[in-house]
Amino acid sequence: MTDDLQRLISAYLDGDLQDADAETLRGILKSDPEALAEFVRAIDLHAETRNVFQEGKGKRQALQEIRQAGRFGTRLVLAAIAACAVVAATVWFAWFRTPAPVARLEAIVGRVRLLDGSPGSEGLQFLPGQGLETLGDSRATVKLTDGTTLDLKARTVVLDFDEAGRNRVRLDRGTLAAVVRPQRADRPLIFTTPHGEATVVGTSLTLAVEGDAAKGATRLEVAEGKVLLSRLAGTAPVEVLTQQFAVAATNAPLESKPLARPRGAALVRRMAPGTWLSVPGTQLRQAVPEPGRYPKVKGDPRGIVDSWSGGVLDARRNRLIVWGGGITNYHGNEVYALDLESLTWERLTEPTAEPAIGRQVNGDGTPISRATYNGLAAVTHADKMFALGGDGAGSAGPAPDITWTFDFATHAWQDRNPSGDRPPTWVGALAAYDPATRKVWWGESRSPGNAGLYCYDVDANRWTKENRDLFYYQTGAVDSRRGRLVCVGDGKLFSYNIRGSRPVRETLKTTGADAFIARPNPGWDYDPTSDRLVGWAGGPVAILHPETGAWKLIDAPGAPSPTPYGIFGRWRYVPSFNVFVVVTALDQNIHFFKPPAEE
Amino acid sequence: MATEQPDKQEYLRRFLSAESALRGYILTHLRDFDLAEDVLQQTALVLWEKFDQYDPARPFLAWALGVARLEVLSARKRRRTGRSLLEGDLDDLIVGEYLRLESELSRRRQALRHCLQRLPESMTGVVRLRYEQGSSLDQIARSVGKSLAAVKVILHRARLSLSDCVRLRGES
Repeated sequence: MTDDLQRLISAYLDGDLQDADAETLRGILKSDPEALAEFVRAIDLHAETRNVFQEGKGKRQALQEIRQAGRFGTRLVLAAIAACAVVAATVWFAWFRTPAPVARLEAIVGRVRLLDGSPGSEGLQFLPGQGLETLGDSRATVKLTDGTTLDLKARTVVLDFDEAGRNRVRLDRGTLAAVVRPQRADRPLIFTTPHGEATVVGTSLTLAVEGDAAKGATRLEVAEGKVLLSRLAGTAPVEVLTQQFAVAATNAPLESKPLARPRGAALVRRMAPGTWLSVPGTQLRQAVPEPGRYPKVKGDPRGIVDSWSGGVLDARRNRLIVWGGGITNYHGNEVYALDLESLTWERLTEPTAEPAIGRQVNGDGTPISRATYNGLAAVTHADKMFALGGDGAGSAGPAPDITWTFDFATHAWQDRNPSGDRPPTWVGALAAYDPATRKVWWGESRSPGNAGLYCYDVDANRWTKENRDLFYYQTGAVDSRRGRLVCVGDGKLFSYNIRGSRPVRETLKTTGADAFIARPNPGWDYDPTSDRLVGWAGGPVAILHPETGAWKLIDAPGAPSPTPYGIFGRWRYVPSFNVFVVVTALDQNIHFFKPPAEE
Repeated sequence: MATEQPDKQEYLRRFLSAESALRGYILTHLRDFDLAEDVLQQTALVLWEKFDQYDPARPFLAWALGVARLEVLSARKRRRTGRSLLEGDLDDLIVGEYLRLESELSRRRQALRHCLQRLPESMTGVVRLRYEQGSSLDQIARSVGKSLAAVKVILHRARLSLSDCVRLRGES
């Protein structure tokens, strides 16, 4: 749908449509079925949004009318029944019959079911006594009412999310990872398993149940914080501290031991083709500033990843750079690096202590935090990261249209102040770097009248607008062997010859990967070793043969949960290991995918 | 009474499943939140009164939209709001789209609560004023101390964000 149409619809919804525009809208709706469908979707969302915000009020008014209905005649009674009984029934069920929910099913990858056999769906609220099972390799994220997050791995059964109202989670089988909100000292969160209990006052942990109650064991790993682990038999608990583990089993001593640090390079190099690897203890969380250190930096650091943000590969130093946040999600503008040899995170810069919300540049000369979308690219010949566009901290501020570079060696930001026809920027744009021509290609998004393919000559510090094509929610990668910019996402797959005289969009018609192509902002990068374009956005890894246009889908177990709004540039090919790395959340382990050997 | 109770339950079940679509359809034409809610309640009453004429072999939503269409016209006459941009053949198309997209719209509505929670705080304030208070753009601009243009941009972006979010969650 075009931006013009969206603005017309928005104006119509707000009663702000001028006569001439009204006729334009009418004409579009009559002639364009897809526009008509979008119009109905927008109106329906508009009406339901009103309904959500009015629910409480409506229920109270309706109940009042029902109470008063006896004083009026038949017609009004009927009216009250018809108009209010629906609401009254809802209120009755919601307020008087149903106990308060104790947890909510936030996300599912695959299939889950409740213990009564009914299928689970996102948004489902758990009542006391209700549990969940992940089927096969499926995974699910459940949030308790205090904000504690539980990631249920494959083949996991949780019998109860608040056993007997005592703040107890009963894990019967499988593995769960938890980020536990600080608990009251007199009411800690307790995980019970067939072998023991883990008492938590606020931490990140992983709990795995293996075997049955008699012969099996429960292994506890603590990424951060402190947990008391005891056997069910009632022996004294043992303290398990940050980066320690302990095992509760019938015939084994209960003691805490240090977690073996993974040796990144060795671990990754041992990967079999066509497999995923999750590396324990590699959450980005461990590198963020401690809470309260920067009191004027608002928001939640989870926004560094979740808030429509991306990253690039610093191939020279073998590390993945992640930068993001913005809007009102997170206002820190610090840059992070994952060292791919040691698999440790480093905070390359500190956040600006007093962010200039609503502006483009902080007082210290650095760019404001932003949802970086696909606006980042590694400019390898200059040893810098290019950064443009996105959605800045404060949301209603100006579009971030300054062309920035971040020096990988000195960690210094520079406003490049380039010449030429600069893109105005709008969310949903994309950037990709071509090492052969030393240029960054920029697909401009919905900015009215300014969509188009732009090119930034880094050495000449000059922008050029190449055409007026529209980009939105695609991710771009340069096939360096053929000199093509290949873009995918939001239902589109197209490419350009970027080494010719004038780039012209060529839509690629392929079959077999429609679900992947439909995803907005997928992970997408070129693997020169196998000469394939490889993408992932949840589900199978999608591999495109650039010559034949044939797709290969690899649905290997062990993939992480995808980031809700897209993977962006946090999926990158790592030539030193011949793998792809992906960062999906602040509190998830880093994952690697090893491409299959080509026939 | 023994024979009335199942009818009432059946009516409530069917009306519940169609209520959101009816609200959307009515708001398509009337746009005033309070007036639209009045017409929805009136439509509910008429549907209840005529429920014995309803042919269960037909989709309930199609029948209910037909009734809602008459109630919208009636309300427009009472309010003398003039000709609607969407009357006539375009209205037929809109009714057809509501029927065609019924299950998709239902999934999107289910996703909306989650998506509203994820809306950035800066947008939430404006969205609340628009949808909770029913404020006009001018009123919102005065309330939040921003220009009219800025309010339009925020609302527009909020709708884009919600639309993207419900689409994503509706698909997953």
